[in-house]
Amino acid sequence: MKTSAIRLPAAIGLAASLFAGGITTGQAQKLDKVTVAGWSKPISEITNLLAEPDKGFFKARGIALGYVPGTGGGSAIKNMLTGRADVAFTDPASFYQALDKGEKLLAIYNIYPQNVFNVVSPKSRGITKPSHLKGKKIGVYSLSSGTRQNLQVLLHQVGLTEADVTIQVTGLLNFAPVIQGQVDATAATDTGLFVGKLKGLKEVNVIKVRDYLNVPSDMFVVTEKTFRTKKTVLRKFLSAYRESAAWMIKNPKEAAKIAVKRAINGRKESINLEIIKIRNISAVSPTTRKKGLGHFDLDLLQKGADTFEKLGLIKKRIGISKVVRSDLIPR
Amino acid sequence: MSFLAINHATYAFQPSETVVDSVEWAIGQGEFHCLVGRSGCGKTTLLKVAAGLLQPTAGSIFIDGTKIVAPSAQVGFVFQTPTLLEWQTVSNNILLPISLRRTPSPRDRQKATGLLELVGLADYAGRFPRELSGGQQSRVAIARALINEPAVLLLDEPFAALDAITREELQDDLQTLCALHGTTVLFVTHDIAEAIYLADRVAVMESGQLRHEFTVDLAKPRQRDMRYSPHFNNLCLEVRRAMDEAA
Amino acid sequence: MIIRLCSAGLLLVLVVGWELFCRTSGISALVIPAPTAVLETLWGGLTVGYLWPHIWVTTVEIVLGLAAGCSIGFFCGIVLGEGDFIRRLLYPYVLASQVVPKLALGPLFVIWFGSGILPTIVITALICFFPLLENTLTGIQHIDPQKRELFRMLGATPLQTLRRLKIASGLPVILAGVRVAVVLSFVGAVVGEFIGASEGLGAMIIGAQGMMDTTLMFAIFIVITIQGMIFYQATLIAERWLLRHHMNGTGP
Repeated sequence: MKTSAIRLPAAIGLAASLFAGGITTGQAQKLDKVTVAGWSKPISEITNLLAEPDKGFFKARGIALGYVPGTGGGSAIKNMLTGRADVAFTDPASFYQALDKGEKLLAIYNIYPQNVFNVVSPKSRGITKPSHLKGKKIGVYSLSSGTRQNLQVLLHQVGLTEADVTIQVTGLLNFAPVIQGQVDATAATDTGLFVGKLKGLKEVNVIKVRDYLNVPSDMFVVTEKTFRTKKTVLRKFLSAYRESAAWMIKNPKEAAKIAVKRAINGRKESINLEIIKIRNISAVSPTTRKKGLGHFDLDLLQKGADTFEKLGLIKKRIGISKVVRSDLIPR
Repeated sequence: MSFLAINHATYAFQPSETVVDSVEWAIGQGEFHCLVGRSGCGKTTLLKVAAGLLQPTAGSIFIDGTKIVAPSAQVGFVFQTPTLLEWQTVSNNILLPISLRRTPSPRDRQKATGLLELVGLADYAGRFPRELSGGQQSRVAIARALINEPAVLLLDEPFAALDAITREELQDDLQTLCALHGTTVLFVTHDIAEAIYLADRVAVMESGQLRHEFTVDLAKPRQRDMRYSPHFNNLCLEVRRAMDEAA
Repeated sequence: MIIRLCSAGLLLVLVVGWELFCRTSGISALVIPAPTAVLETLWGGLTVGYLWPHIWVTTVEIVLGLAAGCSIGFFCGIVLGEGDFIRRLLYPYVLASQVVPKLALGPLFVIWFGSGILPTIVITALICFFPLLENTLTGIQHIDPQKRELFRMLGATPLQTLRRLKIASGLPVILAGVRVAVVLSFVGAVVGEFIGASEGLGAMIIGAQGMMDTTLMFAIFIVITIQGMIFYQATLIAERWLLRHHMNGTGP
């Protein structure tokens, strides 16, 4: 007697285990597992991490690298705090806010010392300085995004607040409203601007946040506990990371090719190349040229934290020297 | 010695609503009794009590000396509509009473085929109910009720929805089937002519009570032309008058 | 037949019109890509092969989510349908839980189940659960009273009545629930991937979004649409076969 509808065999479940996201290397028994909680899906900007199966920088130092995707710096920290990852690849704003909530965190490596955020507007609008933004409509990715936070920092530098402008949420396709004239300007990133130009964004004025307050874009953050208990592993991890970053700086073409396979948005090699080059620029600064990749500019970080406090985005003052540790960064 | 004995059977949905009121009746083995009454007189309820589908609030039913407290394989029931399972073949529908207890054996299947032949549906064993006409479905329902060769067959106005000619054919088929194994039959209907044609005895029911009983002195097995004889008409008139009185 | 041709003709007219609009209006590919560009991207993705791993991942999520959601929904529908007390006890909570948008639970699931395909499968299963629960519940409760009496008369056990009458009779309604679940499972899997997945068509959409690659997004939409229609047709065929004898009413 026929009874119920079609049911599929659970054998398909085998396939599921093959796709448990992220990168893993083999022989996990001999290697220390370090999982990075990223702020995005595996995109071409972080090809140096995604290229691990091909280049093996981490494996060479005894690290089995894992990656957990995220939706913003806040989610990266959250994923780390739930135990899903050891290290968070996150931005200062998310870092300050987590500290403000009472989380015991430490920043251990300055990934992109350069601020990558900007405000882009059509030349016809004549917006060349932050003060011109007063009274204008400005697009942001989302209300919790880095584009919005950095816009706030930018405005603060010239004595303006969000009340002096109109913020509009545009989502990631943030250049469409600009092209169509629905907003006067949009807060974006360096890579976003590059892609926007490819898609028909004509002549624009670009205000770079780094010209006003160069708060870094991303850092590696760990919990105090991880820092205390896994010092050696973290040192090896940061050495491997520095090597991978250096490789990407020296070999952008090779990285662009690998990104076609490894990155979820990497289908056009030529675009990958440009994005990787842009990202490489943000990874170096005068400090890193002097001391090496990954070193911090503490005063810039402190200024950033103080700005956040003044903006009311965090409640308590943060003493940067207490939450930043440079001793794990390789010589 | 009655085979089916209804002893002061009473059924009330609520204390104030008595549907069957202390009915007393005896049916001898192999006899065919009809119960006539207008709609709402309680005849269907009485039938269900006799079947064991309802528990009498007072009184009892006995079949061959055994008290009836629940439906049993001894009793076959034919509902007002054929109530066949649309997703089963005709043959499997007939075998349903058996397949609910065990897997039907080849012998069971033979029995089903035999019954189908008797009702003229031998070719329909593998068909599905939706391919059958109303009359054909009724035949299958009767065959189903008889597959276990029950001692008692209860029918609740099974031919009411059919046209006159089909009804007459089915009445003849029913006679034949019941005569096969000497089944004791209680047949409920609102059609006086049908009651007279089929029954050895006819009872008139009104407001939950049995008011009149008649013995029908026509020869068995009944022939079609008997329906149109004067004697038949007189009997119908008698019953009709009894129904008027009862009301 | 004429209607089918007209339908196809309409599609052709729309596509051609769209193409002409894109070429003449100078509108940015960011806002609306031209059909030729979309098809080119689609073709490239399928032949070069970078789409296939993602199609496979999303398909696995859909299939597993459907299987889990439908089975559990069916089973719970039966439990609630057969147990009067349990139904009255639990149903208000089941209903309340369904009103919460499952996709809003996505980030929570990523925290509980990690990234990868598990949270997406859970979201898909949750989405498929309710149609099956509702339809199974309805299907097995709305039974012809005469058939119920028939089964009582024949001395059927509750389990027999469940299997051979209620489920058998309710099958059309239950399978309608499966059909709905199949369509919803695509939504669940793709959107579920937006949050926690690194692979799959939903993840690709996010990646394309970040690259402002609207052309790729459209290409992915086409893939999802075609795949969804294939699944739906397959379900329809299976349903027709299972219900081939279920038509009601008397014959000729």
